[in-house]
Amino acid sequence: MSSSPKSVDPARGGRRLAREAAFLFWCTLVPAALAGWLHPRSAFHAQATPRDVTKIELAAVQGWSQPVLWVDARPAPVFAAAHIPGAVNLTERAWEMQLGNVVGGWTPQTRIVVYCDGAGCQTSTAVAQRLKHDLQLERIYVLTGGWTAWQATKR
Amino acid sequence: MKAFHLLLRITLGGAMLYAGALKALDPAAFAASLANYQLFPAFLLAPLATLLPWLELVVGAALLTRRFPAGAAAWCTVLGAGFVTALGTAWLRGINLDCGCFGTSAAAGEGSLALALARAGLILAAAATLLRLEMKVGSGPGPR
Repeated sequence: MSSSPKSVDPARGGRRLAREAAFLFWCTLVPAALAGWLHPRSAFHAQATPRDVTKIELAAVQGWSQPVLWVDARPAPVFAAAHIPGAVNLTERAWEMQLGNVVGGWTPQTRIVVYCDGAGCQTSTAVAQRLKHDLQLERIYVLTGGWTAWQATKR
Repeated sequence: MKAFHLLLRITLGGAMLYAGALKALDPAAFAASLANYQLFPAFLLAPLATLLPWLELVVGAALLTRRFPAGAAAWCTVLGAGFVTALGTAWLRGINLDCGCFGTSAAAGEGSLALALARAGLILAAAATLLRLEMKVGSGPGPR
């Protein structure tokens, strides 16, 4: 018995869908592999960067005699609402635009301390690593406990 | 219906290309964003941040050129569902995705998270509709 011209075959559609989806996935692998290998901002390169950014407690920073440049890695609106006095804002999202804030406030004696919201955030580490990589600076630290730790001392 | 089908395909294709290109330009920043969701183990961040933008680009190009449309619509639906799940769970856990932190910066993060969730929901709905349309077209009577 032959099917009518209007009939549909879901199994055939399903097979076609699976075949096409698999083909598109395979098409993705080659450019993705090349990007992972060659892209200057590859996530693999960033991960392979030595994670030698030192975490530092607020009490230790407050004991330093050298000038400290606070770098706030939180988003601009959060930074604008409140930040450590004298801090400059630097986020990965607006890196090129905000990097001048850091360069302008830096001197050869300066120690840079990056902070984000609290113990759970990771942006301060990412910003500190990128600063270290881009500016080839040595004395860059990440504040343990971030903004939450700073606020706790003000209560 | 044909015009609606075309509109869905072009809109979703364009959105996928745009989103994929933004992420493909800076995979390290995308990996940092993914880390903020606190959903994935660290060893998966780099592979995901490298693969997902290119999947979006390939799917976007396929939709715009109408090559492998059913597969592209299926990937679009899967990606949309993934975005909704990731954003939804971040919202439920109170994570501010701008900094990956809990709670204290929510005032700035919540509005953009709600907007991102709404946008992801819209993409998921559009992708699921497109997938249905593509399956209808594709599973019609075959060549005789």
